[in-house]
Amino acid sequence: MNKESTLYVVIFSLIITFVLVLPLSVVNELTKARVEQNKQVAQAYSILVALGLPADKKEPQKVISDYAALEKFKLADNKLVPVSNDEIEQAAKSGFPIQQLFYRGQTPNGLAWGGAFTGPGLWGNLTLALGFDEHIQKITGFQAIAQVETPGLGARIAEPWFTNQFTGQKIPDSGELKFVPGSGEGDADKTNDSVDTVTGATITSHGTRDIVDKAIAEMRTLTAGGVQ
Amino acid sequence: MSQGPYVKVFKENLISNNPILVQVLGICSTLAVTNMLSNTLVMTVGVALVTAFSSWALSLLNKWIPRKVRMIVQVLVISFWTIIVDIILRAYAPEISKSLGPYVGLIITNCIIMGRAEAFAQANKPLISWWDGLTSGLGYMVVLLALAIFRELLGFGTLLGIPIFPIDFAGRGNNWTIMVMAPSAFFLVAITLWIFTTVKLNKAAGGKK
Repeated sequence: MNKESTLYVVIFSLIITFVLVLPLSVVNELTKARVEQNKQVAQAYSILVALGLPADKKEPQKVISDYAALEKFKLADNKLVPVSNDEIEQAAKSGFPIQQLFYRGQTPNGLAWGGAFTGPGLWGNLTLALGFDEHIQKITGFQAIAQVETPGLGARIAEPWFTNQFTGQKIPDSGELKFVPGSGEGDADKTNDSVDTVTGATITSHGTRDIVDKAIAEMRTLTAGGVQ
Repeated sequence: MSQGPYVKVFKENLISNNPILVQVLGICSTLAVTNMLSNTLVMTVGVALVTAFSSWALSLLNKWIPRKVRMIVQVLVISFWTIIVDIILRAYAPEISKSLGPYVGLIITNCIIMGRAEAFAQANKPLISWWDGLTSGLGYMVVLLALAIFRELLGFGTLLGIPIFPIDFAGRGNNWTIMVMAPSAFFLVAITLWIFTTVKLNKAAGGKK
């Protein structure tokens, strides 16, 4: 058959596409469970660390079981309503997962509240795990669950020097934490009103600040309203 | 002494026909990833492997590929290997996958891969095409790593995240912010090209005397 004929081109294109897509589907199928487990462990780890609880990614089963043991709440009429792990699983299976969950855990320093909060970054949405002490006076932890910021710039919000500065950070009475240009090593002073921004990533830093401030306001309102 | 074809390809791709310094290909990713050495290392290993296996596969398929759809087939093959790298990173190195974010997928658009497919793999046998792809990736890696060492050191004062320079060594509240941003890569790539071309021209002139 003539290699340049339309029929040959069509048949060749179909065959080459099939030959390449088939192994991709097989590799995807073989790794799907592992990728999903990595995602679940990463999310559970982020929530535990944000609440100020010990977690080690090298022990994924313990991370999952510690996460399962947390008290979980959903929003109903702007109130926190307890929800069980079974209910969350059923909702996910039904195709209508619970949109936002809040968490409460007993830490060595007392009760802690937390959740995953989303807002815009530079290239897409940022989802941050944030934890607070019982009376929302201090941040207990900060982790980036999902972000698509520029590697080496905005993506540095996921690095320990940035996340560690939130652990134990006092929340100002205004509820608005200041993000200021710093040394690039993080602000070690937990009693002031500020943390360091990521140098060269202004929009990501502003997005992070807005999510943190919104989360503080939301948690203060919700926890003041009590649990149903 | 005559060189074997593999040694010749290696030398060409690393020095005399270096993808960055001579062909000026793959500049977009050079600007983007070189502010951190760890990201640069993973990205360049990914590009080297994708270039090697894409060139190998395209050389293998060459006699069956119709000329009018050859570029579409090249993109298809390059995408295949890039997605394989992406899936493997997501499954077995989730932290690296997370830190590189969308850059892994962008390997598909790296001009070096298609450049080698067009310039070499079309006219050569699979094994040497694989070697050409791999060594082109190595040539790209060497230059990017050198740039990343400068940018991370001056931008963050660290290497692979390990502090080397004291914080605030530039004495202005933080390190050289511009080294973290893409413009510094423009300057550094231009300076590197300038030095390389000057040395090359001097050598050529010296040889003629």
